[in-house]
Amino acid sequence: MNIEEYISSGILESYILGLASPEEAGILECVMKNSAEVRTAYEEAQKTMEDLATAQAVMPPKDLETKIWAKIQEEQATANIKPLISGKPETESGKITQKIYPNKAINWQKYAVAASVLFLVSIAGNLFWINDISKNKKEIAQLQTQKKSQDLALKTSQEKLAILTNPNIITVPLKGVEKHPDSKAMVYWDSNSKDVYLNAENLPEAPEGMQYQLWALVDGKPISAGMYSSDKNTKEILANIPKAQAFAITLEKQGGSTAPTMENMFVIGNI
Amino acid sequence: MELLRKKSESGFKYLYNHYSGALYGVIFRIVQSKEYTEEIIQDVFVKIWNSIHQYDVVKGRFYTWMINIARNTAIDYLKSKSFQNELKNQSLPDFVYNSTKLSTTNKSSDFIGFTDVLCNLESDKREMIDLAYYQGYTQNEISEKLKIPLGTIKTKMRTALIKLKDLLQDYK
Repeated sequence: MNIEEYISSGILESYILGLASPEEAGILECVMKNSAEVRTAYEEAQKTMEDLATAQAVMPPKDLETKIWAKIQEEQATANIKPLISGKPETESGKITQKIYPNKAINWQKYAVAASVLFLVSIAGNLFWINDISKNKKEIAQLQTQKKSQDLALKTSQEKLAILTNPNIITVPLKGVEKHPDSKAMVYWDSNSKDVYLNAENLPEAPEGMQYQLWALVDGKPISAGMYSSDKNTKEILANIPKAQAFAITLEKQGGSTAPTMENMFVIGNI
Repeated sequence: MELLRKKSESGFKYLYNHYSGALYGVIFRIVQSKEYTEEIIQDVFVKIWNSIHQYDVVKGRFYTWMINIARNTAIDYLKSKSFQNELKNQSLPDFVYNSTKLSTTNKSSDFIGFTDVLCNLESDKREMIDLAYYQGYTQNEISEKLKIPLGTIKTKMRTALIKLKDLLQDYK
């Protein structure tokens, strides 16, 4: 097919009218680049179409121009608005987020205040409880010491009772001498083991540096039967006295004396 | 073109003053109704305005490009279901396909004062141009419709346009 035939084939007209297939159009576009003849023919065919349109022109209504211009501007406005619209959600979302953020901040503040209040309440509560606990601890400690002392007292009593209920124990009541009529004491003497216990609770408290000393009178001679201290009261063995006729208590210097100070005798009792 | 690309109002004015009549004529010949033409030409100008950046000088002339936008918009409109339904409601189902007759025999006020260069063409050539140009028939469709071989259609089309070209030269 030569150029003339190609032009005559009607391809140009098809192409101008948009009726050519993509292949046909592609070939024509390629041919036009290389063939001035085809290009010219194409230009002419276009001009024919244009001339036809011009020849067939109809005067549009007078108000059409303004209508169209208004429409174009409207379109542009919407086109401009479109990015605005597409931007709008952003700005709106921005506003929203801005709106949200203050709310969030308020909420946050509310929560912060609430949290602070709770925290303070918690601290107060803790302090109260800690205080309470320390009180309790103190009380417990007090109770524990009380219990200990009570236990001790009970133990003492039990030990005393044990001594007192021992059938071998001989009870020797010591009565106050003339100078100390209100004083009295009890000596428990185990006839079996010969151990001597002393209950001297009713003696006046020994002055500083002084101590009560128990004496056993064996065949008229006083033999030291041990130094008395409150902790030894009844439960501890003061001495082992194999034989005695009487017991007496004198106030002696700390640590005791070898011989009793007679004027400082408080109580005495015969077995 | 520069004014158009800048999308200035003076650009639009130039466009409108030079081409509105021709485009209006093209559309009117296709849809054959002033009412629809007015509607369509607005769309066409907006399309041209918005797609100016798509116009490719290499592929063809600007005027031809605009004519084709007008043609395609109008033909699409014609083929659209709503328009077809409207025609059916008007009990004129053959309106579109008989529009060749209508366009030449139509005595409705819409056509008064209408210069029809095509009238001076031989009827077979006129029909060719009418079908292809104003009704969007493909050459295959014309071939089928007129029961003429496709090759013949193509050459007929060519001769019709050459004839038209001469005619338009005289007209000028």
